[in-house]
Amino acid sequence: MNAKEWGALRNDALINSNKSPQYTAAQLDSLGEGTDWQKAAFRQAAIQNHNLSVLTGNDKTRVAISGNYFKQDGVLINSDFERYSGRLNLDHEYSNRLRIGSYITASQISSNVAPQAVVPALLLMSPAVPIYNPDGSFVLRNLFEGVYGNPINTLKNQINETKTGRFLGNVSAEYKIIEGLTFKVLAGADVLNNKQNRYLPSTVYEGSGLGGLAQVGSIFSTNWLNENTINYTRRIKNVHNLNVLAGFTQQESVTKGSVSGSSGYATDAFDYNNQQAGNVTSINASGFAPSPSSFASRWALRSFLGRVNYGYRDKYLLTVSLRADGSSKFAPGHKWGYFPSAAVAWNASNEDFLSQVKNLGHLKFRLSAGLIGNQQIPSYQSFSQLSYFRYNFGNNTVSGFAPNSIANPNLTWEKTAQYDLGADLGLLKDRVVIAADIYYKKTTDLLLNVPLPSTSGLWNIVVVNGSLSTPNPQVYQNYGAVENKGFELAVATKNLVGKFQWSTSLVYAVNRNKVLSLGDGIDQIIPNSALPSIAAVGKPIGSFIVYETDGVIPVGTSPDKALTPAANKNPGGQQYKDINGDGKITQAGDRVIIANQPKFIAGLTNTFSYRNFDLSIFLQTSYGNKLYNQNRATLELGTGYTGASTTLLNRWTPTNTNTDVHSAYQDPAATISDRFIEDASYIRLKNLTFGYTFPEHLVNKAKVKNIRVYISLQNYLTLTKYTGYDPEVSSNGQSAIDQGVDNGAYPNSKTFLGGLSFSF
Amino acid sequence: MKKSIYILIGLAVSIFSCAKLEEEPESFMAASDFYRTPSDAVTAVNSIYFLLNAGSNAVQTPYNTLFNTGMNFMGDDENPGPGATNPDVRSQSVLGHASTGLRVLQIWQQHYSGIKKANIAIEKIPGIDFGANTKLRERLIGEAKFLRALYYFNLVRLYGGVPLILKDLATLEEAHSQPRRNSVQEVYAQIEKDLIEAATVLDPIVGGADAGRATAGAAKALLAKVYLTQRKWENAILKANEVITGPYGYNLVQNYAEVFLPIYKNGPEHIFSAQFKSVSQGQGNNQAPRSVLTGVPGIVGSYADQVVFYSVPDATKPGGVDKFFSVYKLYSKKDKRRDVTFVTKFKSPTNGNWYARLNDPAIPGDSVPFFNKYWDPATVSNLAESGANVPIIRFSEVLLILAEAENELNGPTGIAYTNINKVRRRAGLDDLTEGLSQHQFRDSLYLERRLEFVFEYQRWFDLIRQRDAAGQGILESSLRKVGKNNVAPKHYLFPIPQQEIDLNPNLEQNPGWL
Repeated sequence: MNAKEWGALRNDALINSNKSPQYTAAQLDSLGEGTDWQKAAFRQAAIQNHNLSVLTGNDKTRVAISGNYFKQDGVLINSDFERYSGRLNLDHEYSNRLRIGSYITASQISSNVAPQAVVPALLLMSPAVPIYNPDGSFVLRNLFEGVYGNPINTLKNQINETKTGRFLGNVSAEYKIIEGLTFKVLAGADVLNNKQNRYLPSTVYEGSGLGGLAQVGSIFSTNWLNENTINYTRRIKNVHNLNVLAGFTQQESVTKGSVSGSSGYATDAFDYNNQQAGNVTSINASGFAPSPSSFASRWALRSFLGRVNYGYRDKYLLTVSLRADGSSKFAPGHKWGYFPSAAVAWNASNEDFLSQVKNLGHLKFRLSAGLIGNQQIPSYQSFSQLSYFRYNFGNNTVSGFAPNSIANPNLTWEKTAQYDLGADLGLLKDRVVIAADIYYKKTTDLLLNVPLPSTSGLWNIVVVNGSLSTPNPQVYQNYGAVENKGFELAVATKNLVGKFQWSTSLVYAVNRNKVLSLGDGIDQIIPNSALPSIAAVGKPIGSFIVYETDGVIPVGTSPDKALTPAANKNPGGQQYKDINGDGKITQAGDRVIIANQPKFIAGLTNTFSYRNFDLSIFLQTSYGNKLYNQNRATLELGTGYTGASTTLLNRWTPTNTNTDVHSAYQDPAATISDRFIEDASYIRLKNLTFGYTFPEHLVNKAKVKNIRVYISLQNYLTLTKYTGYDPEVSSNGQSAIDQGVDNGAYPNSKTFLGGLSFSF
Repeated sequence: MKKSIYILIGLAVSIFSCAKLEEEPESFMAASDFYRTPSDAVTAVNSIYFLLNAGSNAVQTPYNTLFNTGMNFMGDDENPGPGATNPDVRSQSVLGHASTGLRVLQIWQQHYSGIKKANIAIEKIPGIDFGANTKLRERLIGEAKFLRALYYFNLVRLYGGVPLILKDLATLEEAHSQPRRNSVQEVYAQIEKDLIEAATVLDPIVGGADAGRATAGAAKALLAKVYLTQRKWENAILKANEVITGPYGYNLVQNYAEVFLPIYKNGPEHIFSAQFKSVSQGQGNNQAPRSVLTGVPGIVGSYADQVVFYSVPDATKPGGVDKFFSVYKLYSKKDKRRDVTFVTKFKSPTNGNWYARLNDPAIPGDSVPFFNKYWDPATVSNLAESGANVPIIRFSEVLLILAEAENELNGPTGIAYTNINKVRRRAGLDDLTEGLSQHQFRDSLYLERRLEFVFEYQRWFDLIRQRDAAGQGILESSLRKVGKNNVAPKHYLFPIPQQEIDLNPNLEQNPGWL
């Protein structure tokens, strides 16, 4: 929407709210095109990737060394990512019984990160606001009621750096005790050191009231791992094949971090490098915490495992395994989980009666059943933790402590029982290879961050993307059961062999998800009423619960008969379906549940080569998935406070009544409806690579083994009806319930890469 | 070779016992290790007060902005200013909100978080060994009960009967419980019980390092207000008199400005206040910069609230209408409170110029008035650090409670006149006209309360409480007068937050709310 159209919208909103319009017709004309905020912020950005590898050694020792430099500019101005890394692999045969090896990588990453709130601000700035003042300085903020700092100013002037140094190394030794019996020990460490430097200068809106705000944070994390396994292999008379493995592994991770900040600087000259020149205050800009804080967190995992593989004449295969895992994250007495599994397979093609079948490469049937565990929750969730609550008496600060979580003495492993039946088939000398699987998984003791009623008294305030969100307090619990059942098919074919080669690989997957039960006989959980997401028994997890829109309120409807829960009850306001027919729209009676998971997903890769040319094309598709486009919900409010969607050009006005787009109106509360649920099916060209390898006889003269040039396109083409930035994105990716809500996360970018590689 | 295998096994075994599965918290304390010493008890009680300033900067809490954005903006004194941008808030300020409103939920949620902290203190402190100092133990329990009563008093006035949670919901089963709403009478009975018990164990006066803690006087003053709200006039008179004549040392400060200026905080007029403190990690009064014009060099104002402007006939104005009438113009010329309560211009500390915003450029001198009660002269460059306290109950209110209850019970007696006149004289006004009828006296008293307590988070509570001569509530007529025509009978109560009903289907919605 251009500025003139937007100005007319603002006038409408004011008039419909019984206020005077802001612009005269002449003023509207002078607004013209206005500012295209997105165009000003997005750019085409470059990537460089340089790699150098050296392999050397003799028959006892092998060494591989490589170095890599990667730099990617962000699609938003002033954002980038740069990585240096080096790797050393060492493998030495000390004797015919003892081998030792080592693997070390070190890397340094520096990145300028675009502040999270920028993407929504780019959408929500009014086009009637210019980027610059006539004197060339930045306009500070949106000039209307929706206050957003000028995002271009933020991108150019706010400092938001992160630097990460990482060292990952392990040493291992393998000792052959007797023939077939080996003992292996591995010790490894992953050490990560992260520093974040941020400065919000007084020249950007968020920092303008603060005299600048500097924040420096660091995280130091150590993760070590130790694996000890003993392995016995025996083959008896080419009939029996036996492999037995037993082991013990353990892992520990310790993370400590701290943040300091201060504000109120006399000058912006120091950036974040002189915090003592400011004050430690209470002022908080979105995402910044000026008060000092520090934390420590640890988890540990210990496992015992045993596995037996037995094969009879390579026809009948049996695997039985058992592992016992202990996780520190669970409550005392509930830390250990026991996870058995068993699998049988029949290599039918090794049977005599099938060995004569023409064109049959291999045929195998598989059946497996097993239990697996999940412990992916934060540490310390079984405690009732005390939080710090500060106050003051007589103008002196005093300390307060009170519990802010609930003890969970039964917190334990989430378990998934899974059953899989599959077959592998190879035809025409394995030019056609097919693998098909059907599975059923049932997850019980689901680890869910369960919302509690506020009457529980827990204090839970979080800031999401710079704006305050008030979800209910939540506690990790083993809560309910979910099933997943599905079908997976993979087909790989070599369509043409010979000079011109063409091969195809297709993967296709269907999954159906259903919540079987929630704790204590509860039917549904809505963690946050500002979002449409729900977990409801009998429905896929993370479905949407929404009102159904039903055109606009017709002319002649009296406000008390208007079918809407919102403030605008005038003709032209959004109308909703009265599902229960009681003549009014209520949360209890008129919301419907809409599933949003894909009907299927698939990927198709075609690879061609001819002489020295090679081409690979990877297409990915998802069909039937839906997203709630939260940005659009905001952009279609029609308040005249913020930027607006072009959909509103067709809004209801007294002269444009034949439309389903509601009128402009000030002060609406956002209403969650099916209007913003969109089909996010897509077909995407994930990757296309075209390369040429120089003929050996040419390059060998230059003492080079191999030279290859290529171009590569990533995410280059997407066919979708989805109107948001990216149908593949979910802002709330980690949370099982809130997936499917898109509120303007940083999108996947289209990439065009060219490359050159040498081997010596 | 044997040696190397021993080394390997040794290596494996030495690490074997390292990864302990026991969790030993390093950066927090577990509740199970707390509530053991008198010092733990003091700390536990301090945390209940947290809600009063709730210094967590990003968060609005009842006495730190939230009662404006989520409550008073609906009233006839205050509106969101241009800098108030939250659509939920703007929607609520024209009474266009629904049960999903963010502020409706926050007020509910935060009060229950305060109540939990009180419940656990009341439950755990009796089990702590205080040695000989049992008086401290009783006092701490009294403070917890006082605060629990205050939090329930806010809830019952705003939402009606609410679930009465009186024990710490410490287990998951309890925390998940889906309590039903108690009746309004049951909630008030508990509030009265807590305040009566608190008044018997709290100290009459605290000062110095304890200034700001609940006292016996505060418990009685709040009880007087609780009785007044329930129209229990005799009890209200009784308690107000106990506060006035008791050993608490309360008095009106002669200069009205000193009620609010931080350097005079917790003076003789203070009975109970939310305590704020500058540059102390989030204990500043964030309301201060919201009432300041934007664009004044050296002062950071966000202009997030302003008076409600409405039209009244005025022959001196163009067209015979003053379109910019507001509570500011309700003050008489003599009233010293007006220029303490409001400012109409700001002096830039950097360039010395004065800045104002004219209502209508055609009418010079008629500039926008800005609320000024939480201005802190010591933090002008960073007003969110204002150390100005928010009075929750102060002595002038006790005088007005006495006058109001007396008038309702016995008509405009000498007692009623004496007490309202004390407040008027301090404001520089003449005594109230003699010989008013009970109805006239009531109207005068309502106006006095409005002018005395504007911007102290009181107005909405008065709008839903006060009744006119016909015994009708004044909310709808008052709001229609200022053009807030969305007002309906349902607005006497907040809706129960939808998110809460979604999690607890046993909660019944208030009448008129969907």
